[in-house]
Amino acid sequence: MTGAERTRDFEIYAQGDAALSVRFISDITDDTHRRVMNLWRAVEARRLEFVVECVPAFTSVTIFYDLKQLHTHAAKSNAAPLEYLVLELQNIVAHASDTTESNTGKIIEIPVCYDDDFAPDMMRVMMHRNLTREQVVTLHTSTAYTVFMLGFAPGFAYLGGLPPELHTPRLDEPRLRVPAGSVAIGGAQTGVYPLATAGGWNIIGRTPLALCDFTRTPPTLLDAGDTVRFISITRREYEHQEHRRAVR
Amino acid sequence: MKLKIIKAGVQATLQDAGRAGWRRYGVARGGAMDEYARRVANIIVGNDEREAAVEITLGGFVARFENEALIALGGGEVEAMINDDACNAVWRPVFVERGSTLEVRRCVTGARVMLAVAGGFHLEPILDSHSAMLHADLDRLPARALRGNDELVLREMNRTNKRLLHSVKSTPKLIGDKAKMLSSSSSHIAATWRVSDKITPRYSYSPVLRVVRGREYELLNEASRAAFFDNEFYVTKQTDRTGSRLRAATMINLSEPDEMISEAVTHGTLQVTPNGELIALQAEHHTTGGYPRAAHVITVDLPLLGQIKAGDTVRFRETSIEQAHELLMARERAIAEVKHRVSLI
Repeated sequence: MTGAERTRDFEIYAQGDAALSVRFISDITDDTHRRVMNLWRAVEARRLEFVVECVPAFTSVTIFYDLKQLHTHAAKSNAAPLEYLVLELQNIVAHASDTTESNTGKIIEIPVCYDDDFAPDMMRVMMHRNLTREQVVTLHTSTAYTVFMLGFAPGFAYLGGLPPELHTPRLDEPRLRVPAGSVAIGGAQTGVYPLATAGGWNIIGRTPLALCDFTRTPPTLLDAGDTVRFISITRREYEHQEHRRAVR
Repeated sequence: MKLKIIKAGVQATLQDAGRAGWRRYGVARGGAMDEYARRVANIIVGNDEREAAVEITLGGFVARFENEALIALGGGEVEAMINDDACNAVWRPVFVERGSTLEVRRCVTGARVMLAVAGGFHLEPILDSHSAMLHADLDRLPARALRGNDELVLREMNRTNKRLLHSVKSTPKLIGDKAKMLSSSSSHIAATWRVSDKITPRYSYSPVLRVVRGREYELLNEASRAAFFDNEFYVTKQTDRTGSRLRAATMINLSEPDEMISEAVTHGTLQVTPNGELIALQAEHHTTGGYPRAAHVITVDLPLLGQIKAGDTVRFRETSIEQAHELLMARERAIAEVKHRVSLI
């Protein structure tokens, strides 16, 4: 009924009449992330006229299509638009590299000040995990994180790879407004709030970097497939860099 | 040439065809809640159909035209005035004299009405679009909502705009009942023609929205699956440009709780929340979501979805994607026909 096709370890299904998703049947893993990235890049590389855009997520890629254009292409093959698109995608999935390609994303270093003033939930994390402040900071800055996807707000990146020693449940009551640049931990994930939005994660620091700038293309610092490292900086260094971060 | 906003009312924003192409950065496509009204109102004043229009929400909107202008309202029934005369003309272009004040007092059927002005608006694009970005924390137009005292600069009219303006302006003067019926007065003249009801969405206080099933529809328990297509859903006060919360007499629940891995979602998606309500995603929805998706409103009915207001009731009727595609193609043909007829005036 939804045009779902289940083959091997992925499914293709419609999301309404203007989008289609390819979803790998898997938990959130680095391996599946690589498959998602490979598929995403393969679809983009085909430069199909009827594809408006292609959005990667943890375990899926969603293709937004233009019906008028799709209709024209499908008519040439005497196929119904949806049927035509599903076949195209199945073809692309079959040929997209399944092997672990080297990551072509960027490596981004994000400076973070973990000072008390910027870390209202640091104590909560310390107590939940029985760690000192220094240990929290060392653990948080010791890993290379993978950007699985962006969502929820412009420039908000879902990062994979948070050390299990730092996993801390979300706040019981989300804050109505968290400062832009807040670095936080939510469950098994970590991320940075690019804009002052509502937020339910544990804030442990703040970055002076602008993660979102609508006067530039692309408008966000991070993109799916990038690698992120956090670097601890002093309050002084934070203030020196802060003027760079105004939402524009 | 300027349009001065005197009162923005409940909410007024600038909307063009939206900014597709940036979803993967977490940037919503945005654009008009009633995209049909935005396109057609622009076409009937001679603008390019991608032009920005003012999206007026619920009412209380007052604006003054510094120069004579050709304007059109698109949407459901409205209560509007030009200077002190009633002008409830929707779907027909209206010539207004220099210095005229337009007041949209109330959107009667439907929450929003689109105001198109011949020539279009001169605006600084954001990511190639003139649509608002209400959640971007930007204090400039077109990102933020309009405020009283804002002055919108209108661009030079093109040949089509001028031809239409002249045509409407020279509509023979009518007197008595006919003039009243067609909303003409000393300071404004409405065209004698309008876009046919046959091709405009069926605006109503209780619209029926056609949907296709979502992937997670099968996860709903039996009672919920039946209730989904049988019940009336009440539109709660939590309704805005990002989404609308809907509540039925029967709660909509899954047969067992399911933690879904987040993925990109679409405009028109009907998400099931843990407390048994639905969230209908609107034009500026968050780009990704993890709630189960019961169904998706089809593209041709998105204007109806965008026009719901608190207190309305909606019903869902199931259709197929094939049928949805045919309806969409038929609508495109209808819009092309409007363009063609306008070019002959």
